[in-house]
Amino acid sequence: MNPLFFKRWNRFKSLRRSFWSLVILMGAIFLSLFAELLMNHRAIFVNYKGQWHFPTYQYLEAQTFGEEGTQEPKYRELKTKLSENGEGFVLMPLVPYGPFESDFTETPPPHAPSSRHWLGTDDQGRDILVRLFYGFRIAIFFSLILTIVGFIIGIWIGALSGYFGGWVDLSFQRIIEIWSTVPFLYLCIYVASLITPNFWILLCLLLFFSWISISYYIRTEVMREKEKDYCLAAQSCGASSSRIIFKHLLPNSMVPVISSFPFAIVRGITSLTSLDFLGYGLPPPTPSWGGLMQQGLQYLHNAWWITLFSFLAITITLLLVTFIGEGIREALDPKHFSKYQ
Amino acid sequence: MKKLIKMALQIRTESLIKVLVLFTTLVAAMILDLPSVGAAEDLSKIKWVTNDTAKPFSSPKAQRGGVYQSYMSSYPLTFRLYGPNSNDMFANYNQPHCFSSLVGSFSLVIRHPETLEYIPSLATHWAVMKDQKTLYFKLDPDVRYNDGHPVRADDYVFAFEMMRSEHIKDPVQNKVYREDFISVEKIDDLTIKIVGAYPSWQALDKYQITPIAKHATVLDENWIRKYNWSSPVCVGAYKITDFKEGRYVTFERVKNWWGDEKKYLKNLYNFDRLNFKIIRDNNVAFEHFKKGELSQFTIAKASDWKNNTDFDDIKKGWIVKKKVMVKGPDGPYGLLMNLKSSVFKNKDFRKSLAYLFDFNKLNDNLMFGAYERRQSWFAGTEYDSPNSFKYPDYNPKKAAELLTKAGFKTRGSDGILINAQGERASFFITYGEETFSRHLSVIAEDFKAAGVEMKLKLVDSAKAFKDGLEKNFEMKIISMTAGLFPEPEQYFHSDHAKTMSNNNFASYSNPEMDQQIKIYKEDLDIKKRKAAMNRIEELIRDEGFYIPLWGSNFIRILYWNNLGHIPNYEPMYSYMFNGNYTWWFDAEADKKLKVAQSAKTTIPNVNDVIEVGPNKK
Repeated sequence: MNPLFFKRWNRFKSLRRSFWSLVILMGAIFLSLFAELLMNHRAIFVNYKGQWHFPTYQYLEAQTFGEEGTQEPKYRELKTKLSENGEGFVLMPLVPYGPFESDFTETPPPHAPSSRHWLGTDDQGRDILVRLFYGFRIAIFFSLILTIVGFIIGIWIGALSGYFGGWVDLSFQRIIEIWSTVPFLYLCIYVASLITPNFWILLCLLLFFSWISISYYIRTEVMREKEKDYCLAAQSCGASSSRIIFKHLLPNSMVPVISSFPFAIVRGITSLTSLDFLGYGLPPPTPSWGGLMQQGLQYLHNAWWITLFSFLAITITLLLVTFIGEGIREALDPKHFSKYQ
Repeated sequence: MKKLIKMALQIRTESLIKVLVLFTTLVAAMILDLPSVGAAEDLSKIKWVTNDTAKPFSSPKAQRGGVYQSYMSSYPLTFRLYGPNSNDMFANYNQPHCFSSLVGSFSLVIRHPETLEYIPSLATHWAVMKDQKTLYFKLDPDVRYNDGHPVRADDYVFAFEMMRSEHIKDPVQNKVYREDFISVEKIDDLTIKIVGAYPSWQALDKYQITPIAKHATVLDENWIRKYNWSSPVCVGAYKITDFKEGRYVTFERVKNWWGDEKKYLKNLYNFDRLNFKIIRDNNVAFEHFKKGELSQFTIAKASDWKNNTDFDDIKKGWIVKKKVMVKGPDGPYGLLMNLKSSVFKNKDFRKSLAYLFDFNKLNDNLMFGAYERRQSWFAGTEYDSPNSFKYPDYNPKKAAELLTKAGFKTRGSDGILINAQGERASFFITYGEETFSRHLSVIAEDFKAAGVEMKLKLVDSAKAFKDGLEKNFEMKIISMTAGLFPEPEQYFHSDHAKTMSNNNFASYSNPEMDQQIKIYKEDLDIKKRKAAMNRIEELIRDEGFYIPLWGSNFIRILYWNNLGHIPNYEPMYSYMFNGNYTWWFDAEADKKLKVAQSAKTTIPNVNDVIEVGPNKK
């Protein structure tokens, strides 16, 4: 790690707002990997008659716990039952409700925020906090994969385009121009109404269009770096094109990549949420923020919590990412006190 | 004696042959029951029937005038009444009947929407012959088109030609009028004769035809294009006078409409103008209504009725809120399995799903208890026997038994059942209405608890219907409107099982069913028909491919308090609100409403009673 990196990193750390946004976001992403242990209708572990069972990631039948039948036991009720008859104990996750589970035990849904459901339920009785959390995981990973893969494709195409110039550059540029005029939203709607997209199909669909902007940046950077002396030196030493590109040029062209990375994440989350809101994204009953917002719109007058919390979730997430982005931009800025006017 | 023989021999041979021919023809006619030959039919033996004793279902208090503001969710695809794209929602307003489809469009004879007896419409008298397929009608000479031209027998003959013609590109009409009808003949200017293809117990409902203006229609291959956007010339009370593509369509009342003098048609169609705006989203339309830009609004969702109908204007009595109880037949509305798909080939598996459907949970929690479970395919007709017939209730134990019997004994690692061949109990349900997702999600959770995976596949509603017609689905939601009598042939006849683009979505095929359908269609004894219909419903249930959902026997409406209506709000046999039929604009009530609105006072006792209607308990 070169000293330049440390200098930038320290600069970034000194920007409190961005640094803590990064910490919070990384923490949330890390926690979301363990969503099933934090918020689930399945218990974390069950000790029944001395035997340990870990139902979180596997399907256990009710017969395992002395009840009859092959269906899954209701772990919340099992907890009270076992604590009463002393045959064992159950540890439930922090929020003991699943993302697909409808709660009809009280009045008809949607339920207002209460001690049972901290953020209330949606119109099907599903806990909103749980759905927002699972939805966060889906949204953030969708966006991360979309951005990373899109960047790889875009960097590759941009580098080739910038380095070789000539007719390679010309043809790529023309292709990109034509490609960028395709209205991607209409295409998504069209595809979604023919087949029901799942996570990966939607990802591939959006991937077709997300690499274009980064390829422009990289192309410019590579074209600029190509004229510099070190590149000339490497060429005269007889280095191959791929070595020059990957070892010399690209590492010096990473600045626009890193600074636009967070904003590309924002774009990814927004695209997925917009498609879900319109109904052309992930199919029901997948937990999605856009789907929750669409529902909230119908219940704006009487179940305000659906709209409020889904709106807060997406706003806070996007704010965090934007703060990180601003921090990175400032950290990478060679001038310490530049003013943007 | 000798003289007689001499006289006979003197008669010329030609005359003798003529007499012989006449004699044999008469004998043949008697044997074959042919109608008597000759240019003029002998109508003196016909016992003409009419009905002038039925009670008019309109209100004598009706006032003429006012504008009825309504909306449609999409601009019509054409103004034509036949041919491609003509059978969309707009047909309800355009075919100037404004009757519900139960009682038939503007025909010669219609059914009274309260009592279902036959009453004269375009015909004053009618007669159905003993063979149950020959009918005679005496036309009402006062009937005129909306351009003033009188309707005569030639128009009916022309209509028959047109319905059979390829130029209209309407395969449904072509099929009906080519296969079910033999002829429509003009006896004289005001009398016609219709001959059907086979005897039918519903001959008077079945063998009818709407006249088409011969003087205003050119039937050639350009017919579709030429008449796409022209205001139809027809016998109804309204005429399309103004329209703007994508924005609105306006109908105006025909001056001196012929029906204004008729016993059963006067005091109907009371508004001077009907204006249909295009508003795509129902929630947005509701906001328009609240602002006073729509005259009336029908509430479709139970949650809306419970939560969104308590606002100020209703409390002040400016908007009237009523739940009109009616009794209309329902078409099938339920989950339908494709019998040709591999996952549903096992009957026990299909039947187990019926035991996993928890209607009460859905009804109480998602729909505020507003609906009733349907227990048959053709519910609400006189052939329904709701007490003796039932679909299974929610019973997961019985379902588990059936699943085991079907070979699904073990659960996979994800909790879904697997059979001996390693196939998972998993299928897709194709549907087109987004509002149904939440019900299906709850049903899917119940299925999952028992080990069956139902994956939701929401597509565009037109595509969902098309997939049904092409039999490209595993399970789908079937939702069809119904006529006054059950029509099992289109849904269950084996002929339709092998072909596409028909209503036998499930590809059901069973020789016993075909037999029962034939009995139902043709037997003239109602007891036998009811027995056949009962057997048909049993066969449907035992095949296990249909799980009925629910239905409602009411229409929930909100309307501004300046409209007058018949005492029971809607006739008994209605399934949708038809404000521009029996209702009217009440000028007195409008004055009172405007006064109350400007002074912000309450009009008392408007919403004291919410449940009304002809079928009120």
